[in-house]
Amino acid sequence: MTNRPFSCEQFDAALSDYLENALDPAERTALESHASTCDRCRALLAELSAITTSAAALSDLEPSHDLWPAIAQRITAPVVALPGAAARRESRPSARPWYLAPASLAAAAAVLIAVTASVTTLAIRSAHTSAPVGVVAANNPASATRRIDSQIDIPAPAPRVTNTSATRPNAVPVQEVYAREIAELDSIARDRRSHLDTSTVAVIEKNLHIIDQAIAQSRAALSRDPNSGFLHHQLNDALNQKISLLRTVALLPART
Amino acid sequence: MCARFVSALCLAAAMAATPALLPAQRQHRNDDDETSRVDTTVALSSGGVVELSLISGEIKVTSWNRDQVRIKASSDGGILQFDATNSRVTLTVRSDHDDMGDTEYDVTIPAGARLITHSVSADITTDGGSDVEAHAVSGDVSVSNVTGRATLESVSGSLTAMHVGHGLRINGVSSDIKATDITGDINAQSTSGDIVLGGTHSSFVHTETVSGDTRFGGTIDRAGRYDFHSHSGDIVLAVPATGVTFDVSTFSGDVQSDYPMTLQPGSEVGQKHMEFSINGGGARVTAETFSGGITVERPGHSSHED
Repeated sequence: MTNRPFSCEQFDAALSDYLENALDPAERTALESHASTCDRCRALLAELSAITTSAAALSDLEPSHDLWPAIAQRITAPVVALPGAAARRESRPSARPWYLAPASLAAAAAVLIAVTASVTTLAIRSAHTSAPVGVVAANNPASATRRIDSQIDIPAPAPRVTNTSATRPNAVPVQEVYAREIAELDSIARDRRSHLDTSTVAVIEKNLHIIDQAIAQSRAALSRDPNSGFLHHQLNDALNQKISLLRTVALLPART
Repeated sequence: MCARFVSALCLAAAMAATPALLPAQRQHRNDDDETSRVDTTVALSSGGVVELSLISGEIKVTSWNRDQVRIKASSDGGILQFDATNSRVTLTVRSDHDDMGDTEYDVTIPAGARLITHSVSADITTDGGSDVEAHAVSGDVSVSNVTGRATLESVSGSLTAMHVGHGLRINGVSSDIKATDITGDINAQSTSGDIVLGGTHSSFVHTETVSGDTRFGGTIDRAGRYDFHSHSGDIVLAVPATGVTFDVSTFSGDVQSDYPMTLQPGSEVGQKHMEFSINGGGARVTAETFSGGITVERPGHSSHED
């Protein structure tokens, strides 16, 4: 291509490919060179980079319980009164099934927030993504996840990038995003553990430890080879696993 | 409690005396029908939903070629709550006290029905259904003969799927995962459990583990995409000699292949990242580990059988 800096129009056209890490080195250099001299484009790049890193921390979300059908049915279903039913209803402390317990609903609400944020983020991102790729991703949730994962590597995608903050000064560091998300989920999950069977909690603790070991090993390897895209990818995979497990814990039904 | 029990017995007796309720007579039963035992058959429209949930005990589901749902359920200490409309049948259990005891569901659903099951420690076994979801915490989950899509989840219970016609999503934590004869996209994830995929017919496979091993065996679509990721678990891929392009990466694990690894430009053997093709390339197979070994073998030539 060309080594000349991009115009704003060229910058806009190439931005989605840049975020997808799909530009060749010359184009990347041209785009970054333009961003370094144009306030508008630098701000746009920083904003979209922050969005993609946030999106990278969110993988597929599917609530383990679809509460709405049960709720809808109870709202719309005709009620057939039975003799003595009203008295029984008044006397019993709780008529809701276990999966509609307040804790479950709270967890579902948390998931709803997360899903909404995820969908919003992806919708914003898709506006900057070429249509054919977007269609593939939309038709295939797993491939969408992979595409998100690939973007996790954006802060240090190529060996030649040695200081990401130098190329994208306003970008939020990926590890910072992960740390924040994990801390929030961990807080929810800790509250949830008191409602779970002790053997289940033990399984969760053991597997969180396994993931933490994987994270530590990846970080140790990265400290020796900080430019390795592969190791960044491995670390991000382990962090994604931790987020996925914590989310699972947050959604688990109570033992009773 | 005693009055409720008597009421439940009367209700159960009444239901037992009316084994085949006609759809027109049996459009709705609300949750005031409390009982510790249900034995009934209700109509369900084509494509209707059957949703079953309990805490401990067992859920068994089979299918038949009738537009009816047959339910036999009993609970030691819980109160069954049964709702039925023409499009949805729901059975759950609740308790007014801590000790509920076991609950058992034995349900037969229309072959074309959508099935959703939830349990905590109860095992779930299903045979049939169009789309099936089975969620457990510590219970084992086994799903077979699904014409549509299957979704299985458990934290520590084993997860088994057989004969699924249109895609599989299967997630565990310490769960061992086994999937056989699956058509359609496959997504499988476990933290420490092993993943074994056999006899698959999919153009898209994605697996992830942290310490669990992964084993794949199935047909390969030349236009397909197959991704396998693990941190410390081994990955063994039994791949037929159709056109495949491999992209294999490991930080400290070993890589072995029954096929000659013809390196392509850009391959980095020293960093254990290699790309190689068999039979001209085609399907893209990616395997990545941090410390786990990666083995590519010919089907039937395994040196890694369990």
